[in-house]
Amino acid sequence: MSLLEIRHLSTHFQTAQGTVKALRDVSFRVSPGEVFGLVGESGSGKSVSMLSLMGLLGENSVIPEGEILFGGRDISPSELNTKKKRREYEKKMRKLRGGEISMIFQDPMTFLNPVLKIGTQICEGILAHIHCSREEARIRAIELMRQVGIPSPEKRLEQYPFEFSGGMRQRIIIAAALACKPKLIIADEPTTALDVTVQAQILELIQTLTDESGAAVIMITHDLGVVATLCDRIAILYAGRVMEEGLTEEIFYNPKHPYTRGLLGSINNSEKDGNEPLRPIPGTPPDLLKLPAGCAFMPRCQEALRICAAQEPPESSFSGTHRCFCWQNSMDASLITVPTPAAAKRAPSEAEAQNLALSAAREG
Amino acid sequence: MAEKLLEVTDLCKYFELKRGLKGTQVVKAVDHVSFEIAKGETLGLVGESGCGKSSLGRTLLRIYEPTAGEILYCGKDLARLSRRGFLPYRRKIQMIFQDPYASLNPRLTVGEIIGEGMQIHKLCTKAQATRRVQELLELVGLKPDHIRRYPHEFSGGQRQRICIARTLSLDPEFIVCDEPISALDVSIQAQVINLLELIQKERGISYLFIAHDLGMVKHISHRIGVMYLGHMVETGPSNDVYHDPLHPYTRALLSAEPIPDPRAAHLKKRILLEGEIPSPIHPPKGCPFVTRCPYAMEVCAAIQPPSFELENRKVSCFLYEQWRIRERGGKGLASLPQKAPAQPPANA
Amino acid sequence: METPKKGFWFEPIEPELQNSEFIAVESKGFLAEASARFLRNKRAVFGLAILVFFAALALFGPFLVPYSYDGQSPAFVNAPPSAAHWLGADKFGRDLFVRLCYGARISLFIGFASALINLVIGCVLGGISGYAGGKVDLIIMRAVDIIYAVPSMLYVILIMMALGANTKSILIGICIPGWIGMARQVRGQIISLKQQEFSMAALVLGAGDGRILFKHLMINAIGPIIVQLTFLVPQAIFTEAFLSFVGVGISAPLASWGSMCQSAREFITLYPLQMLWPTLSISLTIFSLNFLGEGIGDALNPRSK
Repeated sequence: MSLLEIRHLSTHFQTAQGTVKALRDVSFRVSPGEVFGLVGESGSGKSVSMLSLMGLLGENSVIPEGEILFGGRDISPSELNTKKKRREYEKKMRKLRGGEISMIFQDPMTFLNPVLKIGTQICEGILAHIHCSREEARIRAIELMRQVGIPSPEKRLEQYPFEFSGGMRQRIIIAAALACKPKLIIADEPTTALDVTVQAQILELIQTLTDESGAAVIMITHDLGVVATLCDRIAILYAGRVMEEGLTEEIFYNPKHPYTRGLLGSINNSEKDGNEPLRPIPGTPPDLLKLPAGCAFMPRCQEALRICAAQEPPESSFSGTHRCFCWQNSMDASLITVPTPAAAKRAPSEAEAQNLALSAAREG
Repeated sequence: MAEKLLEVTDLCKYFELKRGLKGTQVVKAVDHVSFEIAKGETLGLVGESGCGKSSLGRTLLRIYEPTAGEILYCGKDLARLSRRGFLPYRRKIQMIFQDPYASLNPRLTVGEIIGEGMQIHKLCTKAQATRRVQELLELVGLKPDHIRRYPHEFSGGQRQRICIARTLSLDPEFIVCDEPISALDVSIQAQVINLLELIQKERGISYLFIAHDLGMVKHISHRIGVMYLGHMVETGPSNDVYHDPLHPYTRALLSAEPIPDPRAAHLKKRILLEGEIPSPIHPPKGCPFVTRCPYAMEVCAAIQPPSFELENRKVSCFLYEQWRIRERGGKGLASLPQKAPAQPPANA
Repeated sequence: METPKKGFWFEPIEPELQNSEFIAVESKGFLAEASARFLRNKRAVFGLAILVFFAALALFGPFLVPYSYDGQSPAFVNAPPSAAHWLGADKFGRDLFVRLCYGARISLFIGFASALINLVIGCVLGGISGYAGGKVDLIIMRAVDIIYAVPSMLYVILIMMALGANTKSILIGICIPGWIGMARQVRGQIISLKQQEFSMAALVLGAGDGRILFKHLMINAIGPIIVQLTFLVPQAIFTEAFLSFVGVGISAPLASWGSMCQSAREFITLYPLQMLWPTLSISLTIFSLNFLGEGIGDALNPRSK
């Protein structure tokens, strides 16, 4: 059974310029104890999906659809149309946050209160979710800090966040995240702000701790190196949609989506000999206010088909674990619901077909 | 080796920090750094934050005034020129900045931004400038009619390409690229790198490419320099440095980089360094790396290692004194036992 | 999952349908967008309208009625509003409407002239101070501290004693300490903008100090400068009104809103309307200036929405 299941989740933001469709029909599941990578570039919706899951979105957000199941319980943030439902949802989430689900952020300083001692902050988290005395909480905090590799924790508990370096702060965040023995840890770019050598320490730490505690981790990142090192499974997000999902090996060695292939072609693998030329994806990610019709990746895709500009691609699966949303992988005419331009049916001349396709795409 | 374009010797940049009653403290951002760059060559400069790589780039361009040392550019010492005397070199030496959102003046149009250099140096008439701006826009993959647009309408990658067009407007010979891709998305980084490579091929421009992404640096650089706490600890041809790093810090840095290849990542042995970079206000005595070095010896804590030359490489580490190399019968580090680091990683 | 026959939809897409460098946002330039945002703000437009009304009154009001500001007519002493005297007349039988118009002249002139002078001095000194830094900054900022140490009202009163009670000396008195806020604001802005990479980029291109300061830094500080400016105008108008009210400002028979309040004070229980007109004018002007300032601030700084 899966620990977390997200089904058809969409999140929109209302802004002065219009509706930003940050997340569209995203589904995936996370099993207990696995490390699941959520990969995407800025604006792909990887952070928004987790904020939607945790119920931490701002006032201007709307969740038109979506179901979220955590450990069999329904924590869907959609259809909270009455005050009572909203209050119940908020109550449920407050219990989960920092308890069974905890988060690690990119910038530890946004999470740590600069005027409170580290010890107080970790203990508070423990006391909020577990019934125990202050002294017991303190002992647990010391144990946690030792676990994440902070030397002389008894002394460090009495210090303030500014007395710690970036890497140490991130360790404290991890300690706080582990405090209530969570079943799921959401790590939002936990190493992006850190230097390479410190990043290696933190990645190692996350790996050993999750192996020990058996917690599942959702790793949000844009760094394919981090994903390859840490994750069991990956979902690739682009413009608010899942493009491809599969085991790490499937994604890296048998990518099915042109976007995934583009990402892999854009990075230089320093382990390989010789300098292969980079194969970047041309163009720029779409504006979420003005998404193209059909597949969001179509404008930059080098393998795009006519249908890509007219209809969103269907799901095609390759193994029990590997699925992908791309017309290239499911060229099945029965899946097409948009009407074919009338002229195209009676074998039009080339120029005619082109014009029709152009107009169809513009309308679609 | 091709003709030398830039030769930097013992360049220093110290910053004075005023700390109230404690008086002034000196931060040695760049400390006796020497290197050279040939015509049409790319020198990659890697190091972690606070190692002084950006300060070095800015000092070369006299954004910061050098404290000491020589910057020989085609035989002329740039460090000693007056501000006016430096002006002609502003055309030849350009810079691409890290943050494409901060490096374009939001109140000017793209045309004004790219054309400004030509206007300052009075290179051509207004009509010529407009035509040239349009050519440059096309060169970097944008459209000529983008000339009247404002920077905020563009995405990060497009903005970085506008920055490249701006530097190219003056036909420079040497460009300092200060982490030009670290603020960009993965799929966009490769676009910018390919563009920079294309420009180099066509115009024979030299680059100083500063970055912390080792994979990309290896890809674009002919030679690589590794900096740590204001010191250049190792320089050499990029393939050599990657496949046989000499300095213990270079080894650790390379092994710490996550590889985007799951099988290789699982096989790779990581050298995990203890602790973090010491504060540049209180650098360790002797070798800057001594507090974290797994091979640290007594001499390292006492004396700063000089630069040892090995074939076409330079490394600042006592492990490469000739007699030590002879003693262990080769230059590799594999035969050496690792010691525990000299100091605990406390950094309060 | 290859289908044998590809069909129309599964042909490769026409390249002209793929606009990968598509730019969705389109803007008409900073000022055009700012003014569009400003015009959408109803309160700000209302404020502007009131201000324009008073400005028109100041310029053309006196031509509408056949009186001068000091012409006395004993028949109309303390007269209520009528067809002859629209707003009534004061204790000397002077027409209140025409006096109100002259008052508007003085108030608005002092308000805007002092703001303009402060703008120039503040921008130049603040800009130089922030841009040059070091000793120059130290000297200018210590001078600012010294000027700031003396109560601002004292300057006005001292200057008036030296140069006589007239508009010019009030203006000078207001301006001596008036530019300080502007200079500090500009200095702070310039210091933070100087760190931005675009100013380094201009330096690297070979731009001179003047070009960097004005074309790159000052232009980006324009929002906070204008907002600061909208504080200065009501402040100056208040100062003038206060001085005239306590009797050290504009002296009779010249009219200012403050001195009109002063002369209406005696008979406030008998003829409250005489007090109402100038106070209403002051309040409305200040209100509209505040709305205007807020509107301009929001228009120049779209992120505040």
